Amino acid sequence: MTDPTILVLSSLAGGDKHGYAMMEDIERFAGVRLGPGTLYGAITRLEERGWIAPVAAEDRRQPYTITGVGREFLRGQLTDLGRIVRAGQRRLGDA
Amino acid sequence: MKGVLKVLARLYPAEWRRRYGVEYEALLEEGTPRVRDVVDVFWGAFKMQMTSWSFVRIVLVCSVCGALAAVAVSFVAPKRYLSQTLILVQTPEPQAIDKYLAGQVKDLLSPEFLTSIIERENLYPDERARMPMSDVVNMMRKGIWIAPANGKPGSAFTIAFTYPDPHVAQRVDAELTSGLMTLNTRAEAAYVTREYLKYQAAAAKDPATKAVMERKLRQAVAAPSYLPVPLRVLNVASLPKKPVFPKPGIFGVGGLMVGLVGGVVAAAGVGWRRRVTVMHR
Repeated sequence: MTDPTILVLSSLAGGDKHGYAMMEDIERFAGVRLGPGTLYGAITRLEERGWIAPVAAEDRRQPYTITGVGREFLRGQLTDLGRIVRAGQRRLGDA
Repeated sequence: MKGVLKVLARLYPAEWRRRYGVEYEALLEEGTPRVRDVVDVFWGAFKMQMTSWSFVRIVLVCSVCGALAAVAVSFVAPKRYLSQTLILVQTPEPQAIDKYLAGQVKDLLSPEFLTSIIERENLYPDERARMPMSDVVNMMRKGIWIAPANGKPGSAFTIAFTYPDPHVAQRVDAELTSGLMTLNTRAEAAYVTREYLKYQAAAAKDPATKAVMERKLRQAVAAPSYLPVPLRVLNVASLPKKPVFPKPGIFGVGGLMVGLVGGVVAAAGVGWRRRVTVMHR
């Protein structure tokens, strides 16, 4: 699971964060370190789609928050993923 | 490293930098950058540039980049030089050349003959170190070209050989020509001997002489599968000045076409992404 879109949304689902905080958070919970270009590519796309939005910044670092639409999208994606994970585990005899 | 990343960040489109430039620089200043971040930032800038370009601009840039990359590759790719010899066949029957070539080529490209040339000229040293000799011989066969001159039946044919070194290509082509001439001389001698013995056996009046001639005929050299023809070398093995491969022009056109197709695919992808973005707004 290395789709930057899902990783960024999952990170912001846990609270507002700026870019560097997202990178560290994603590395912690997913074991994936997104490069700066990949991270900001995802942030640009997500903001264009209205799934995340900037919040008031105290310095040059810009924090983002997940929007309601973004939350809905993430929920749908994770439900689909969960279904695939459960099916895979069942077939492997792990569940 | 951080300085390099900041310089690369300037490759992003101006409009994008106006919106994200300050926070992006702040991100690049934090933490310890890795070498692959350089590629990541560069690739991110390239993709972002693509999203702001028009369909035509993407296709044009990809085509030009494809052509330039292919021309660059043509300059570093291993070169191959072609040496060729032109041989005249002095026969009134042009069709005889095809039959003659079919038989001669089979004998000329025998593993024994080619192996002797490979060892003598120390051809394909890298390949010989990791491949069996039979595979190296097959590789050499692919570098030999024997065909009627100008690609159509006539009274002349060409023996050509391609190799990374022009001087070696010339020497080997000369050896192949020499081998062909030797084979032709042997075939001619065998043919004349057999014809003479056949005539003697037919003309013999007493059975004892006829039996001797027939025995000699059976013991004589086996008849070649083709009739020898008088050959004359018109142009000796040439020393190639320019490589026959790679041709920067052909590479450039190929790269242009690949870039064009890639550009259309990329532009279509960018267009699709723009439509998805608009739909989600």
